[in-house]
Amino acid sequence: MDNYIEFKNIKKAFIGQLAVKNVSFSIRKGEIHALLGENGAGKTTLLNILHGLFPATEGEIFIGGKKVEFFDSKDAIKEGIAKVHQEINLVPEMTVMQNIMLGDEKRKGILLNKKQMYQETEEILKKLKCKFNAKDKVSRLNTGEKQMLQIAKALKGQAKIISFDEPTSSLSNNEVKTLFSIIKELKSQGITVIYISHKLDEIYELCDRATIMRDGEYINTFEIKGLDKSVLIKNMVGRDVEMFAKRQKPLRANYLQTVLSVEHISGKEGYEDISFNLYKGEILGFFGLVGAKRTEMMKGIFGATPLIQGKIYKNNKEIKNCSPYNAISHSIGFLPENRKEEGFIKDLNNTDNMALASLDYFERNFFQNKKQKYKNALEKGKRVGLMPNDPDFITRNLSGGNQQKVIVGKWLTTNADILIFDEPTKGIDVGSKADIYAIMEELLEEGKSIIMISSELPEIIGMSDRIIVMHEGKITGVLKREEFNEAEILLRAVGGKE
Amino acid sequence: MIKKFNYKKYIVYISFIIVFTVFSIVLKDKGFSSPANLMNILRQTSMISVAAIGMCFAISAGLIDLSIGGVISITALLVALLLKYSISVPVAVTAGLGMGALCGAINGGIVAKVRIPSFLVTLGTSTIFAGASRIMTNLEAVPITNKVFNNVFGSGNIGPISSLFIWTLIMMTIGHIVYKKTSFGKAVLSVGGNESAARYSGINVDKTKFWTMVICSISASFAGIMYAARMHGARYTLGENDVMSVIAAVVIGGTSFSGGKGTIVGTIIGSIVIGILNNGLLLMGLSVSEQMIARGVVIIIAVSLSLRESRD
Ligand SMILES: Nc1ncnc2c1ncn2[C@@H]1O[C@H](COP(=O)(O)OP(=O)(O)OP(=O)(O)O)[C@@H](O)[C@H]1O
Ligand SMILES: [Mg+2]
Repeated sequence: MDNYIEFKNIKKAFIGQLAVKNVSFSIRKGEIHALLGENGAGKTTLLNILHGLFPATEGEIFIGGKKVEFFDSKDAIKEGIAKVHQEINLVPEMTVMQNIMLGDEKRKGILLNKKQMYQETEEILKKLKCKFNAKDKVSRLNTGEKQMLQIAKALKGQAKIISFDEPTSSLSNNEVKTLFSIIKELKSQGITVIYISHKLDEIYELCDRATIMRDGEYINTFEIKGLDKSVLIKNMVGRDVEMFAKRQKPLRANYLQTVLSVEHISGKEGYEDISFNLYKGEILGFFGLVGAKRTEMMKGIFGATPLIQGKIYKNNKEIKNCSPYNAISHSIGFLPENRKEEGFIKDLNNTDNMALASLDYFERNFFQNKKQKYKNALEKGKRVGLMPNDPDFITRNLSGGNQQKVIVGKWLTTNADILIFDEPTKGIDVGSKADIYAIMEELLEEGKSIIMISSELPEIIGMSDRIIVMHEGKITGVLKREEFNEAEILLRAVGGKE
Repeated sequence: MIKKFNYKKYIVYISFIIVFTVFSIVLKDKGFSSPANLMNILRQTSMISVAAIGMCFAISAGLIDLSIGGVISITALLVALLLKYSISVPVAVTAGLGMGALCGAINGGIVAKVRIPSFLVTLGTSTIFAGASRIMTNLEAVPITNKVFNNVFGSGNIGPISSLFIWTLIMMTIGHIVYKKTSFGKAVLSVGGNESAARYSGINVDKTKFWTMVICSISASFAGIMYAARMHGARYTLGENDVMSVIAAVVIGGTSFSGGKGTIVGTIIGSIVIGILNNGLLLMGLSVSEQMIARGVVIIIAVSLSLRESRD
């Protein structure tokens, strides 16, 4: 069937904004169909309409020739249309099993049938090769594990159509491999898959066709086989862009000047005896697989979680009883990986979210200087390429990638001279990634130093001055730029070499 | 661009108009809308309004304070006792507010340091404070004969306007400015909106919670002072039944019960809505028990309207 899912003249208007404008295209039965486009192009919005999260303002959707109209995501799930969300949507206080079965609990008479639910959960987890158990509490899982759980949840029902909205942004290579083999398996069972991602390699490995959206409009649909990447990008961005992460400016790290010195720190999250130095003007990359505890360790350095032991020196002065508040007053900034939970305040607008880490700076005789904050938001928004660059826009209503840009803007607003970026380009489109890289280089020029956690090898190799590799909470290698080598880095990341 | 009418934002003004219009029509012959009665309503609601300003901070920060009733009566009794022993008005009032701050510091200290939810902490302290106010005078009422105090904080007027209402306006202005224009206001909203994101942005979450509880308690103690001045005396029963009205005023006013979003002006309108309700039901000739039932029903309707999530 050539037109299994058909979008006809779909339009979606939000208060003050037209997010999807007259989009029509169709998806074949049993194919893996990519949805591509820049941040804010309307991809997530279109999927949300398909899944009944909100109605389209105009237009119709046909599935298998039948017009469908869902008033609620439950209706869609009943029809076999499942979704893996872009943002993590789990109840942290519940167990893995409870989250998977949420809203669809199995019963035996009036009582819950726990045995059956555990059994079904274990089966799904096994199929996905998850390392956690049905009885684990969700709040104890790390971001990658939570993402796998989201996927498990979507796979539970008898789905005919499954959509993935940037599923790999918090997964490590191995998990991505598992996920891909699952998606291919789904395809072989005749399930139709819609796949959103900003990583083009994934599209080439996985997808049959790709539909491109730009600025809420339908641009084109391509067969992936034999298609040139640059054509794809040009259609997405409307211009040629630099696809590879690389340093545009001369390296400027000064290995005689240590700005941050971490000595023998350990935390109960599982990182142990970590020591390293950060030098002025360098980008120090941290690579590792899921479970390497990079994020956990950085949270310890930033003071968000307590250290069991170890010392941290900024410019040779010890930072004592560290808390985020203290770290920031020592000019250390931290861009968290998990933007919805740790990055921004949902009901505040871009002006306030960008000012949040610099409230003292914007204070004049007890009062916040609104004009200055507004001007700052406009300026930082422009620098990070925010769309729409409207300081009054409520951050929650921005597209995923644009929310990320607001958080980058928040740290640009502070005068932090050590910036810890945890997956800084997570969810950022191909065109804007280069902007983020350029901003990082500008920060170095301003005399700042950067720690970057990234799970994307090309990014970490392209941007770092040195790379520290971690495996299960321990450092397994420190590599200088001239020693960078994919195979070597991966070997150390799996703990194959100490 | 497309603008949709977002009724939720204006729900407090809509309920205000509805309640006001309904009573104006139904109670036309009973003089509901006479200037004297309207000023009477404002006078009666002033205490709720002032206490609701502090409560708006607490709820916006994702906290709640159930102990304000006890704070109101402790403060009123303390001020009445001090005035009885001829302590000067400024000293007595300052001591009253200091008492409020102390109660707030107890609540806030436990919330911030021991990390117990404010709901549970203040559920406990509410009976402690209420008990303390009973012990203070052995259940005796304390009259206040100081005319200056009674006039300035309660029963006096400036022209046709009650001093109680003027105090409400002053407190509202201060509250609004602190809420909207200071770093503290932003910290309150961000702690209520997303505590971990606030922490990761360097907001001192414990400190913010502590001071929010203190502010909430101080505003309750100011309400206590107004009560004492209006009644020309204090008794342990003052404020006893106010906590529900105060919370309802804040929520009807458009402050999100889960924190992160709120308005001080809306809170005051919300409390006037409650005041109109109390007054109207009384004029309708309902018995006290009937009033209680009717009030509960209307509050549930108004609160559920303002809590309903609009779809986009
Ligand atoms: N609730 C909302 N209110 C107002 N505007 C919204 C709302 N949700 C989305 N938008 C707007 O709709 C546009 C499309 O957003 P959408 O999330 O679909 O983008 P996207 O293509 O998924 O981008 P990304 O790659 O960054 O995830 C954006 O400009 C966004 O600001
Ligand atoms: Mg999206």
